[in-house]
Amino acid sequence: MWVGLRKNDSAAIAHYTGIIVLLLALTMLVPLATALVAGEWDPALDYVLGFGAAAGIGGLLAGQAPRRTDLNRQNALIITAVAWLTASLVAAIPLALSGHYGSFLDAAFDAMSGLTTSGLTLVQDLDHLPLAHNMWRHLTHLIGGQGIVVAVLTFAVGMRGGGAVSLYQAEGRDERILPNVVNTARFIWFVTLVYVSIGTAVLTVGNLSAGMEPGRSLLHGFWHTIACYDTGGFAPQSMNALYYHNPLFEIVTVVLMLAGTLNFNLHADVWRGDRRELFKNLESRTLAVHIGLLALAVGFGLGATTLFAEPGEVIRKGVYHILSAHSGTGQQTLYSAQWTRGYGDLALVAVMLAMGLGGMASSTAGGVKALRAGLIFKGLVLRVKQAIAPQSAIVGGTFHHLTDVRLTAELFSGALVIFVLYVLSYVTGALVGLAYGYPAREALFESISAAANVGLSAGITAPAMPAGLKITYIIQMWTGRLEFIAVLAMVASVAASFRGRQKRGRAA
Amino acid sequence: MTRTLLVLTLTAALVALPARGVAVQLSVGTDIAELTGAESGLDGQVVTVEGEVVSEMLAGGDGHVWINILADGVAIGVWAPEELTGDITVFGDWGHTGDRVVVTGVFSEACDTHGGDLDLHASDIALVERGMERSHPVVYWKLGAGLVGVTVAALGLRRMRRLEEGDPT
Repeated sequence: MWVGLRKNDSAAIAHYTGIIVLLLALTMLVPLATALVAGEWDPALDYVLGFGAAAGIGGLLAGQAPRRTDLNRQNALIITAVAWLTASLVAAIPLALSGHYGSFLDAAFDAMSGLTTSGLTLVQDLDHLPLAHNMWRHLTHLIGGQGIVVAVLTFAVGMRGGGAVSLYQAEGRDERILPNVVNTARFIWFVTLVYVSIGTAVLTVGNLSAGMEPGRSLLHGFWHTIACYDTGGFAPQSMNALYYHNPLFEIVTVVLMLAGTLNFNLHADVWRGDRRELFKNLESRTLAVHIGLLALAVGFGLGATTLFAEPGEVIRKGVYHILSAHSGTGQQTLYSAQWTRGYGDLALVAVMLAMGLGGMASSTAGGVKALRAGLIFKGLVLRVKQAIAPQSAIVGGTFHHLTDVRLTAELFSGALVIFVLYVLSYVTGALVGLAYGYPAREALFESISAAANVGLSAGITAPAMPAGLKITYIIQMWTGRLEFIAVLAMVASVAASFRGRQKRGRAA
Repeated sequence: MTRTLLVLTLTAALVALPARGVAVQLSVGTDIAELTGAESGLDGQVVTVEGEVVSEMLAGGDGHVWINILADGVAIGVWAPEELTGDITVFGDWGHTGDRVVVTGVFSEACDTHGGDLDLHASDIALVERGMERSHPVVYWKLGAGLVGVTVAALGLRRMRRLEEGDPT
């Protein structure tokens, strides 16, 4: 039976969405401060307006219900879907005022891309963008990477108990590292703080030694750290990571990308000194095998061209981009066209597979996730075993993910459903691209990049691309980040409410 | 016989000299978008491009620096001997339009010196236009609009508190 929304449900959804938007308003004070320190007066006013608009919208929504309003699982899913969409539209306001976007739609595209840590961008003239707007673009990675809801839970803004757990799970996180979900959210921020501090310090020193001014060194270090650790992919320069011409920069960002793609539960184990889990875990093993095989494929692909004279160059480019694609970061030291036109099909397909499979569950990475890929593979092996075993034999399977887990039909089908939804999204986005006249390989590459929240581009994503394709990618980034269920639940609930209203109208 | 040899030698010298001279100076005029489009066919050739110098000069090692030049929204890294960059003083950012330069150098789609990066090794840099400050007028209505938003937020939060106290108005 489909259950529609009642008046109380709508008020609760509006209230919690409002609280999340109010928190987003507060984060706009960071780019405002950046603008004031840098003497960027007009960009500062973009954030005064942005703060006011976000606070106004958030306040109006929050005022629809009292604090600590009850929250059921269905509403938590809908709040998560609605909050991510609303937050993207609100985050787009200062960007749209910057004069660096062709339309509000373009700014909303970048805001959704930032919050979902995708990294595809429609910004124009990035090399002349004010520091304040660059700060905001990168900050959206930090907020969205940790999870908007996680951010709210960290500060426990009127959310505790069952509602908090439902919201936490609805955002694509299904595990609790610590007994209390609020403490889990705080642990996630603590781990992030440690990586961001170390990454920023190392990259700042690297930038200083390359001759960058101290202020810019620090800002670039911070921005790239959060872009890599939160597997986002934005950059303050149009040349992305290639701007720095620095092997040290590439090594540090690779470490950050790997840390960002690690499941927070594994971070917790490493933190507690238990490194064995890293080697036993089905998810980390699956990811290691994927990365190894696909890096090899890219290596063969790049090596087959006559462009690279040294094996070291092939390894440097190949490993960097496979890790960037697999972790869903999207940082690149190559130009878009080089992938699609310069390096042949094998390297291109390997990168597409890496993007599509993605990183680990309960991390900032996107895509299908290594845990599901591992589960599906184990499930298939089990099915074959069962098929050839004697009728009287009971064949079961287990896998290790934090603890030893029995591989059940429910787990297998759950992983398969999400896998199928991702594949459907990849294909749908590619078909829309094809319908607009883009070549098949570019259309598929860009679609996977959007839906898996990666950010590598084959060159389609540009201010001049059709509005319909921009909207398609926005939907793909949004649904991909929330792993579809929250958005599907929202659509189903709204549809059920309309149907219920129609039935009541006919009965009257 | 000797005369014939002399004529042939002189003819060869006359043909070879200008040819050599042209080879040294010959460069293909192109643009940055074409070079980064992976289909230029200019890998390893001497090219000339024009663009705005953006952001800053970075250390390039071995007496060289990196500058990045931008044209039509696409930038490329230029590895240049320090002495060629003496004229460059204004770098493009939010507050400035950078110096406009014409760079001649060897283009690499995958440079062996720099880990397979796409870049340009400059042999000549000419300043064609000095950069300048950009003006950004302050638009004050944004301040008013922001204050309206904050007022609306205060009203919304007041309503939330009233609901908590059991007053639905």
